[in-house]
Amino acid sequence: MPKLKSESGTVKKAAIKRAPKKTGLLAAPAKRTPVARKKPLPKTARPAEPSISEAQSTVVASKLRTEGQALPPTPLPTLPSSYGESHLLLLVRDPHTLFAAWDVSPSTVDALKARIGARGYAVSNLTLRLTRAMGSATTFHLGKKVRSRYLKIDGGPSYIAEIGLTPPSGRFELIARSTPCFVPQGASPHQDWPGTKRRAVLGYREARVLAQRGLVPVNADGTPRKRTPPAPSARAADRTTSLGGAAPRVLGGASDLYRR
Amino acid sequence: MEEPAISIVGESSPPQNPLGFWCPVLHAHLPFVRHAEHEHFLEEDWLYEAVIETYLPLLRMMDHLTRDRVRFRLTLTLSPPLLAMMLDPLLMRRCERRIESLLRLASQEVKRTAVHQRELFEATLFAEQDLAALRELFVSTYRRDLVGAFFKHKAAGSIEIITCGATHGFLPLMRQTPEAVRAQIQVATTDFRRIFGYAPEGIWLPECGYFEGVEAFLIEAGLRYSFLEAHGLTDSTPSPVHGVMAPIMSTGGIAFFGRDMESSRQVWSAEVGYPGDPDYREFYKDAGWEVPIKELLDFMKPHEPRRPVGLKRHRVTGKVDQHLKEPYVRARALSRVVDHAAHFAHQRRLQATRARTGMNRPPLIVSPYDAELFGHWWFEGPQFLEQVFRDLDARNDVIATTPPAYLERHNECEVVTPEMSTWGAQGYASVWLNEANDWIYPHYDAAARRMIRLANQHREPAPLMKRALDQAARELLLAQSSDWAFIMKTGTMVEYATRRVIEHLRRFADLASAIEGDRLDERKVRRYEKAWPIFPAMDYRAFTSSLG
Repeated sequence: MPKLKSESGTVKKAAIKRAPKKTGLLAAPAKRTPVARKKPLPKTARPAEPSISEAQSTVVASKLRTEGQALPPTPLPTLPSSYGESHLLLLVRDPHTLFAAWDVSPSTVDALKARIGARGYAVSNLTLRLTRAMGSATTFHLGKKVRSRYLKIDGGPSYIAEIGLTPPSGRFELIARSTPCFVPQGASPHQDWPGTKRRAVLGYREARVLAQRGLVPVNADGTPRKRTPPAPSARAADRTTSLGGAAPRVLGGASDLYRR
Repeated sequence: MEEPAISIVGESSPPQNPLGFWCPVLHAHLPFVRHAEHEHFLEEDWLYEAVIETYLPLLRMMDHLTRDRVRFRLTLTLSPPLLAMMLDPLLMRRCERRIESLLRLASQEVKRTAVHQRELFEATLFAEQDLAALRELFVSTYRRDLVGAFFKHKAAGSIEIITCGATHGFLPLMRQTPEAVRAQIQVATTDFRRIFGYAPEGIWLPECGYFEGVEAFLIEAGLRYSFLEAHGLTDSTPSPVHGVMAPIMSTGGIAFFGRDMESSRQVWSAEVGYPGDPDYREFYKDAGWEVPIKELLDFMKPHEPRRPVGLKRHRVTGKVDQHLKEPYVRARALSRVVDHAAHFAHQRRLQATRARTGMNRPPLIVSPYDAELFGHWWFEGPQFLEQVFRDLDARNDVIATTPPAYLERHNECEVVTPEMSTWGAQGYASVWLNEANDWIYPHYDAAARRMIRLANQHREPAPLMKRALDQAARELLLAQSSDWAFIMKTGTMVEYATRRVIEHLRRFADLASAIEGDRLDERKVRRYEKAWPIFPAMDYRAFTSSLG
């Protein structure tokens, strides 16, 4: 008799509630309400029409559905709760929301304890500092067991986050710094274009030739410039900073990452 | 038995100055769900359903149009995992077996319903004939080679085949590890060249997910054009003069085509879209729920819960309960296809007429859809597409085109900087990053950084080390498929998606530890290679920080 197997089925909901969260992943704790925001959201986001996006989701879900008999449930395997390095990941979800997740290595904890003392460490707050390009920093105090957080923001163009400890002395002890995170700005005034200003055009055939010669991307006025290689993570010196790193340099715009 | 074509018209050549152009784009993709270790594996049904209900009917549509010398142009993404599965002899044999099982079930149902259920009998008879025709196509005409069948239309100049991310990884959320973005692009284009023998010029960014800077990786891989969700293009800096009605050249050096929402709405929309017509075939009412269990033994064991098997014989009917759905009447459905296709084509003419005012060129209407919308979700979708092509060809005013063909005629593009965008709900990343799936991203990020370190450290590895590094790269890429995050978000098949992510990341970590400790076990490497045979030309150096 053919063997019928499925890893889906009736056990899925119970299993998924248990799975990633309980296995000590770098998952957020149960309470992760977005940080309160006082100002109203700028009306920049223009979501796709709900009727279309919902229909798309329905269609895609229809091709990835199967109902059937599950084998007796087997425990889900687990992933490490920590990768043993201090690191801060900052992702953009939409023009109003960032997602930050971090890992703190045991060696970083030991170093912090050596610096500020075991008692100082015990009474310190975990602090997430979010700095907006050419703007001020916002600080969030968190419990030491918190591993991720959604952050409400008021538009771009870019942010850098830092995770650290704030001991009673008030001095911020840096643990890790994120790479810059670039936020879409939607239909904002930045795109207004003076009617008198000439718009740049470039032929597709010409662009292909330029690309073959390594002369893309092009400038905003349509003139070519020499291509710089994609910024590899190894070159991003400020992607993760150890203790006592310098103050962050927040880039001024999305393009800057690829202009370095 | 082959259905007669709805109408037959002569070949035409496009006019010099048409009213406008229409660029249909079908994105065909499934995650890699090959489970050779099990004779029957439910998630493999995703592939078999898509082959039987979408890919074969689309090929049949193209064959009909070619036979009748109707000019049609279509852009088709064949994602690398889908190509790998279509080229897999085991999966294609299983697919043939699936068609045979469905055909047997349909034949049994024809006999069972012949006497007392006349209308259901007619609907079942049509299903039987349709399945028999598809089996003939699959086995005799295409000899189980779907890729070759699609390529035949590419070679004829009717379709443009483009690539996608290697495993449909969602690129905007990989942005912090540029090498991971590069690997998704490089592995995909390498695989495309291996299969088709030429370099792809276009790419469908997974989930239409664009971020500024992705162009560097596209250009590096030889790609020259892609697509944007409408707001990604209209929110560009500066806002394009022609909106989505003309391609733009991004400051990153890639030509982008913006999605037209009006034509999307008419096909996609749950409220006003065509697929909800009462005469079209109902998706959810399936023989698996209702026929005697003894007829379903090819699909399930008697003690197992019932499930859909793919034999559907009812029509939408209206907003009524499933038990009130009426039997499918093919002639009525085809009549609606003709109406809807005429309506769609007419709307494109009106749209082009409106848009043309103030444009120095004919407007371009770009309509991207999930390929599986046609046939799988909307059973009559392939016939609809066929009839739209016939209608446009007969009138010869709005011309079906592909991106390269349009750019050949209208070379100049306005230079703008697009915005981050996707075609998911809300237009950004919230479908793939939310409370249901955010736990995966720290693991993706850690694994990607580890893979980059390994790739940078091992430039000239010994053969076994190379195989281990290649397999580690495969495992990471397979974990990164955006389908897993999507499934977690939608709440269906969540355990399977979770297991896949964890399994691939654990295998990756296992291999990485063995590589770092120089403790490689050839048997284990071979076992992992055999479990997920994808990307035979994989080169882990796609993850290096510089490709030189």
